[in-house]
Amino acid sequence: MSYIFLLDTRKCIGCGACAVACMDQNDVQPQEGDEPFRQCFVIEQGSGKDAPVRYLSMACMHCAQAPCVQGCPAGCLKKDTDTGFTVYDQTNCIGCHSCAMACPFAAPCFDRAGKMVKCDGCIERVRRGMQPACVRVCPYGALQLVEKETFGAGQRGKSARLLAYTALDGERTDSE
Amino acid sequence: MSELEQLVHAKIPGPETGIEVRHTMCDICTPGPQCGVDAYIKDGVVIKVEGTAGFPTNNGALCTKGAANRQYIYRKDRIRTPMRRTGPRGSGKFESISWDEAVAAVAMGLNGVKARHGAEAVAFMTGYPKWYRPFLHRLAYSFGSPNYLTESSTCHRSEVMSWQLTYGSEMRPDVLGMPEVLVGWACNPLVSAYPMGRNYYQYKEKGGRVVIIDPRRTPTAVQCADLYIRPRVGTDGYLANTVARLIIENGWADMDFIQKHVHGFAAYRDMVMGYTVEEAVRITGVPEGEIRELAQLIGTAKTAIIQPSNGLSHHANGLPSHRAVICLNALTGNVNKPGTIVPTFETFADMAAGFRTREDEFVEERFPRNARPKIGSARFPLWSEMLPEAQGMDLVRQWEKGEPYPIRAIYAHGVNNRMYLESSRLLEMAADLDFVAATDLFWTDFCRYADIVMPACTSFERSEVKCYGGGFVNYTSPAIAPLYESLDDVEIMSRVASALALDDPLLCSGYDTCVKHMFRDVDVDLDAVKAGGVPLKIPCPKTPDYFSAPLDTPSGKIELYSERIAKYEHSHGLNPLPVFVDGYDSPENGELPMTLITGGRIPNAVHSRLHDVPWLRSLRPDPAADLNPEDAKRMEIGQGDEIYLTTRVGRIKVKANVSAISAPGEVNMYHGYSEANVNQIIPRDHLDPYSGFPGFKQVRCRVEKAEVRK
Repeated sequence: MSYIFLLDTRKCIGCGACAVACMDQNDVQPQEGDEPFRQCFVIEQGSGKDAPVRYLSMACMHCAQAPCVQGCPAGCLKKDTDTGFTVYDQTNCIGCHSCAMACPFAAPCFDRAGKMVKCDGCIERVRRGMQPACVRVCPYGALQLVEKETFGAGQRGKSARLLAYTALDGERTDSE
Repeated sequence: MSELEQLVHAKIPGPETGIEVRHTMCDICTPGPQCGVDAYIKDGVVIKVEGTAGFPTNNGALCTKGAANRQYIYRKDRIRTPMRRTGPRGSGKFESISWDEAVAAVAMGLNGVKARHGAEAVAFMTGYPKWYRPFLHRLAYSFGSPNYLTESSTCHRSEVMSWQLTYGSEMRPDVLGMPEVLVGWACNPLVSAYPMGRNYYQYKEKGGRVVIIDPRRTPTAVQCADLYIRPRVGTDGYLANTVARLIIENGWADMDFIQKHVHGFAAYRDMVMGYTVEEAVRITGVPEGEIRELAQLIGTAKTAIIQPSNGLSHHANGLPSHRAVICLNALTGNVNKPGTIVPTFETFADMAAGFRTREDEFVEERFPRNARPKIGSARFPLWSEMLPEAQGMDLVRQWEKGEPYPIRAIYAHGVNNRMYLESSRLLEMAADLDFVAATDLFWTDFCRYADIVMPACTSFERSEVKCYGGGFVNYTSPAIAPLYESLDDVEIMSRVASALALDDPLLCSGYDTCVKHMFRDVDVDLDAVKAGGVPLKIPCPKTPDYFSAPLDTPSGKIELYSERIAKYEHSHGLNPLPVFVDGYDSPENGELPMTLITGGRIPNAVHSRLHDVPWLRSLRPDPAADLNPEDAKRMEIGQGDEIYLTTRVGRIKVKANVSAISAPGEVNMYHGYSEANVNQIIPRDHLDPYSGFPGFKQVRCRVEKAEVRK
């Protein structure tokens, strides 16, 4: 059973509940200098009342062809064949940051010992039928974990509408 | 890692990991959601939280604040033992004492002031949370003081007054009854009350049409609004009355409904006829097209909801503005039908659940009838008449003047001086008093001024009865033992009541007995609910139809013209009609060209209590003011630059968040920060004469780059 993290940008408000739930799940302590695995962003343009705004939640994208896996010289990262998550065992991590440099989303973080840590999709929870912490907490169901098999035609239509929505707002920006 | 280590690391509950899940609840924000929480516990310590699946309000989810419960509970500055002050007030010098010593010292201090100045000289004060309020209220009354005062002097009660003055009852929006149009006026539920926010999303998904009216471009405006209207802050009353005029002129008013159920329509009509679209454009800054569209949307919809929020009443012109907005529901006959506003009433501890308890009786039966008038009675008579509590915004004045009688002691639970305008004045007051007792979770500024400090515990560490809409009753059990030597607030009050030797055996008997006393008519076995661990749905008695008897207003009808306000027309200059009045703190002034807005919610904070929770602070590390990009450009202020906000009473330094959240000319600042307390620079005479509420949202100010002025 392979999974996809899905963010509905029409519902996300960038509140950060997902980021906090992730820190709670993974014992991330920002005050000690830990980097969060998941973060929210508010991206806006312009100064008018209807100027476009987007709220986003971002963490590891669990890429199918994950550059971090290919970039790691110590073989710490791999794709989990069951879930499709990009998982890791940091025992042999040499802290070289090759994974972070290869990653287009800056998902790999480094712990206080200098070893790589990142979102593992809450794989142990998902294996037991539980949702990832970030998905479970989301007050609006904006962040979801969906099975790849069901992410089919119906989802394609939804994504198309979402893209169109973004593009139309983009047009509105241009005209202002 | 071994497989077991991986399971422990992933916090998977089960006998092999020794991790157990216990149900509790979040008590961080208002009583609105009070979400069910599953606490993951290992060796008596909370290691993770998540929302309880199937819980009436949150159904598995949590908000940003609730997700941080673990760090909130284990905040480093939790008060650990009862303490007695050893240095000067404010010095922070204390020594640890036993509970018996603490409670005896409190009793001696309070009874001493009572003997010298009378029981009224003791103010019983509270901030957050709200679960123990009826107990503190009864404690004040049994002691003999009418001076029970709460943070509701600045938060929700003005809105309740407005509903009661106009409709004789608090009303709630039946959003999922699918009105044709939903107007959220100063409503930002996606951030401030997410169960209501979910209703907004559900309403939209079913094809509903949303208008958001707010000076701040909130996430709700962005994600929900089909039409977003941005009036200048504090001009809502003018906008509402202009819309009313357009509705009447276009023949959209529901005259049958008005004839049957409304009092004072003629006077109201004459008043709104003085409001013009041209003047509305000039005052509110809203384009004419949007004003007319709004009037048409409300006026021609089969059903509409005009839903205000507390924020509307947080102005020096707050109560009349709020009333102007809610009058639109009655004007269009959108009352007491599916998809309109419908009556609601509080069941227990500020929560509406659809059935009644004896909570009011529990408090009122101890009212000290021979006591002198409560604080604020002369200055805010409408508040004093309508609410069984003192208006806290008049406390400092009464202490300063000693009129009509001196205030010489405070007994406090959860008091935050930063909820008071020119907040440091409350600390100066505390420094001067004969006796101060403070109970809190954390070492607040206020605690440092107390003679005796007592440690309370969180909702995870106590038992508590809670009711929820739809007829749910819950009675939690502690998920963990109280930390350090802390006790729950009501246990502390019971011990204090005993030590004071009050003739109140019920209050002295503790929480469980008192709650069962208040629930004695309710068909529920509280012990069984507690044993069950989750909310139980009980049958709610059918309440009579709203219009089946005269409404609880002097005329028995919906009052556009308020007869209750009319009593104070000559003595206090209050207007029985919801007229628009200017809400600024001072006349126009070139030195203070901008307008400061405070109090609007951000997702990661509620007042002060979460600013020191590292997870939440990491989302927005610095106190920051939202400044429109146009203003920022003009003043050469960049994102993250340090800026000064200056009003006629003070100045704070914060960072700039350059964002169209704020309109040009307005600057929005979240409150409650110790290093940048925006309420310190709001003048303390900037109050609504109807409710006594602070004008948090409309203060003349100056914004300047910090480097410019050394």
